[in-house]
Amino acid sequence: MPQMLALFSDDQEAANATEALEQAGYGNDNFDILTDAPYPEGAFGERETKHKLYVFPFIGALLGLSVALLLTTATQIAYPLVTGGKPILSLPPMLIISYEGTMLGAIIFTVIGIFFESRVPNLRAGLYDPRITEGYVGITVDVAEDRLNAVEQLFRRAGAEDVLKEGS
Amino acid sequence: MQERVTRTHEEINSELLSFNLKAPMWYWGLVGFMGTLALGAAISFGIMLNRGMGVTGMNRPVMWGLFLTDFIFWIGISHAGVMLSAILRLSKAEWRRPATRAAEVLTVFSLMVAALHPVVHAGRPWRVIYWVFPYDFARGLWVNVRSPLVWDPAAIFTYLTGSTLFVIVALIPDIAVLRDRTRGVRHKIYRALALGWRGTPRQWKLQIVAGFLLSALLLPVFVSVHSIVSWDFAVNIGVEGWHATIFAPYFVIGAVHSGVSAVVTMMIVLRGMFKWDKYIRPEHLDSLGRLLIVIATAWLFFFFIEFTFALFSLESQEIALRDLQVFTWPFWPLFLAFIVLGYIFPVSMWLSRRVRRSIKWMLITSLAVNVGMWLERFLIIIPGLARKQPLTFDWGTYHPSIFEITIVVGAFGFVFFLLLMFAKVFPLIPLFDIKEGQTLADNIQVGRRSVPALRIEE
Amino acid sequence: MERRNGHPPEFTVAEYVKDLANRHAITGPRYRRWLWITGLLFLSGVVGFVARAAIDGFDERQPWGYFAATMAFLLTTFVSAPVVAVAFRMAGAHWRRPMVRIAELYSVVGVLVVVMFIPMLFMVPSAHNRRTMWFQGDTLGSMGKIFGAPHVYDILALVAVVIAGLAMLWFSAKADRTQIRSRAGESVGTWLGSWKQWNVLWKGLVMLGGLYFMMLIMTQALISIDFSMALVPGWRDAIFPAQQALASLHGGLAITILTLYLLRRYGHMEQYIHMEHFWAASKILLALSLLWFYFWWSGFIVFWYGRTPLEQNLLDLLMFKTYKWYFYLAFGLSFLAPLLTLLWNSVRRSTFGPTLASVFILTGLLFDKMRVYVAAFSIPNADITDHALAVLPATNIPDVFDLMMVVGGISGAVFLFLLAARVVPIMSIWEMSQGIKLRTVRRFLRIDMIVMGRSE
Repeated sequence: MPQMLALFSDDQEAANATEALEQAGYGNDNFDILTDAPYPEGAFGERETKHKLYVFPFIGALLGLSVALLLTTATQIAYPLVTGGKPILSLPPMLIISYEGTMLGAIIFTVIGIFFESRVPNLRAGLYDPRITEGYVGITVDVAEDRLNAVEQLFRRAGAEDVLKEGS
Repeated sequence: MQERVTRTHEEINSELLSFNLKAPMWYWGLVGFMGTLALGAAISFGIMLNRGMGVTGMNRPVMWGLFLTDFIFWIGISHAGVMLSAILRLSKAEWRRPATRAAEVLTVFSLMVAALHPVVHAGRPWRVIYWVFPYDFARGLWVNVRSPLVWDPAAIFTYLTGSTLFVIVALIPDIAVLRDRTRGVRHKIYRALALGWRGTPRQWKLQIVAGFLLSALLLPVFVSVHSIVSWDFAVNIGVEGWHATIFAPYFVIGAVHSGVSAVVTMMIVLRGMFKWDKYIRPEHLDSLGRLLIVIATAWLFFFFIEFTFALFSLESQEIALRDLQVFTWPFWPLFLAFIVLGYIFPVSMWLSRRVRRSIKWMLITSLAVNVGMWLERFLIIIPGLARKQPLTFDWGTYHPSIFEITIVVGAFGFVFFLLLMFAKVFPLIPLFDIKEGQTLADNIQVGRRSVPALRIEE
Repeated sequence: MERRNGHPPEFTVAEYVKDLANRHAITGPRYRRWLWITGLLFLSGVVGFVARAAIDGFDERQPWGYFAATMAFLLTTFVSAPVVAVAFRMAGAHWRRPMVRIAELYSVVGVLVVVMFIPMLFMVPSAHNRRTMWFQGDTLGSMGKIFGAPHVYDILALVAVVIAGLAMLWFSAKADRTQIRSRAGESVGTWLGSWKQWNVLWKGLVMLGGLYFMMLIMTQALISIDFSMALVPGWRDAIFPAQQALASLHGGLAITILTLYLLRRYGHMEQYIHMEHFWAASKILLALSLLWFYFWWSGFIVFWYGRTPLEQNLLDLLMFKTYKWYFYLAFGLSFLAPLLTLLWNSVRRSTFGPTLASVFILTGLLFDKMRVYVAAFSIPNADITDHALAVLPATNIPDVFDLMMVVGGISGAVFLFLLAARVVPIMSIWEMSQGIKLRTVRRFLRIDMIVMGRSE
């Protein structure tokens, strides 16, 4: 289905437009909001974003801990030299390095999770206009060919300054 | 009272990106100057490599000198980023907004420079890899996990990676703005770096969650880094004044003290350089000043405990060391300067609201703190080592050579050089953070007074 | 039209004040029952104390280890609770409002702690010619004798903290007590609620709070060093006073959260005490639990790495041999259990989760105090001037009198709190009223949002 992008200079008009879209039968899955700053969740009527970001740091932490424990244990067993009277496998130093490994794993996997859940890099981005980063609120909607004009009228009535269509 | 300045998003973009899009001539002069200092350091390092460590002032028993002092100093500065960005983000302090990115970037660059110092100090830096990197390069020799000198690289690497990724993730929305405002090659580069960012609610939600999550993950790392650096000294029983259990939190709070002061300095400089007086306002400096009073007083508490407990055991060597640090030439003027510049002068000034809101005085006091804190690190390392051995013929003094001084000065130049390069390419104040702050700002009428308020999700 | 404050059921300042005043005028059966229970347990504690004094006297410290631990526990938890009011008032945190008066009310327990501290003064010798914070050992012989060290200064510091806490309570409650009295038709005294009076009250509370906080940290440091560390030969742990100071923040917050939960549940104050208050406090509680571990680890790693015979003996005494079970319980309950509880967002976002963590923390603190004070008190008088700890004393297992004193001490603290809550309203009327005025709910685009005003 072709996409349409409406640009609003006023965020209240954009919010009214999303309400009008819902009344016209377009659910939250069909339209998306583009802004240059975060708005409170649901401000434009969008559904709560579900994500599994919190899983990533746990996986990363487990991996990091395993690698660090393996590293500290294996290196000390491979070269068993007593230093400072401490046991070959000394738990406190191993804990310190394991802790750093755990945190490193958690952080790296968190960032991987962020990119994954944000769907970036996004090679097929869809309709976009640089005015969005100048403060305009953009509403993209997937519209059937035969309803393009009706939706355009809906946006204009709601106060859209510009309406772009895919291919235009 | 909070002074609110409402700008349109276009104005915010223009004002905060003007430097990225077109830098004035003095900028290149400043970059050249800082680059020259860094180059001077590189040349000194080259001479040191060629002629050996004898060109430095380090000799028995003072084998750790300016390089290690500077190492700890820069690790300390690196704590600013997480302190301001992470803690203030988690506590939802609105006044953090102009300071976070500058603090995070300062963290990354100061960490990089700090990590270079032990490598420079080692004399034969290619050998550093043998005892740090966990690989059997030759003869079945592996790293000694039990040494804090091995814990150090683990911690610094984790913190550096985490801080860098934190900066990168938070930069993406602002890179998108630069993508939309540039043409030609720059546009292509920014477009690639923006990774297709569009600003959907999903992307913003994850940006905010990422901010919280990474802040929560980086906070324990930030505490561990300087604690581990402190254990380079504290686990050692051979040097008087070092084997104290208080070193870890003492170093961390000292790092926060110097780091936050460095951010104050940086914000004032940025405000002046880029004409950001609408974004970096006296109220931000006021809040930072109040935070600094608490941090500085906590630092003083730890310093007092460290000093008192050094004397607690009534061991004659420990008392002699403290006597050397506090009452004996050439250390007593340094000690006096450290105490006055590190606490007495700045904190007594910060108690005044007028001073906290004065650009000039906040610049002076924040610089004073960092001079004082640099001296603190010097006084921890050098006097203890000077009296390290029990036999007096082994006692020594330390006079830093021109090569060490050049490298230390060059380190400062290198950090500023990197900051200036970053400022040219990316905005140092997060655009979306400022815009979000405006979106969430509101007012409540109480009687005849309109009280500034904040919108919070239910 | 704006909704009032976003918490169903909605209420105005007038409705809140009327409700609080009415509640304050009534004494329920549950309150009376608990007053009796805690009062009787407190009396049993007094009996235990008298029995201990009659049997063992005050010449040797060893039989008084658990008594000292109880005193330290009360100082670290109940007497430290006002720090919650001080810190979050200074930070301008709105979620502090239902809990500040609870925190301030606990300052009355300071009176009990001062009374308990008096016999302890007879158990510890003067600082002369031994290693203490007062530096009157032979190496510094030219310093001379400091009169009364450590006893005079420790008791002065403790009394100062208690007075500061009580002063904060008195000033904070002044406006509320006037409200209560005026509703009862009594004379209102000098409080009129003028702008100037409010200004002075606020600034006074901030200054008193700062003084209280600094005095508390100093007193915790002094008492913990003089009555534990200085009694163990060779024990030099610079982080110990900082650990004790942190424990007082930890314990103070934990007891406040626990009381807040009990007030909500059994005092039927659900409309004023919400999940958000527990959620906000739980983040601080989690941070303090992590800091507890950090301070402990900082001390441990240095001793472990140093590996001198003295350090190994100290670790064995305090952590791995003589008092190892106390240590494991303290470690598990002060750090592990709260961490595993508060790690989950869903647990933090509840009223029970942070309360459970608080119970863990309070129990862990009690075991920690026992570990430190019982161990320190078990060193014989003749050995405390030795250079290093050479012989580990035997583990001191509590007997029935020790248990009576521990239970009696804690019950006495609760008893005093309950009595004080009859005199001063248990929830701050003026701070809650301020919060109600600064909060509203407004429409923003397509959602309702809470709008919170800044109080200064």
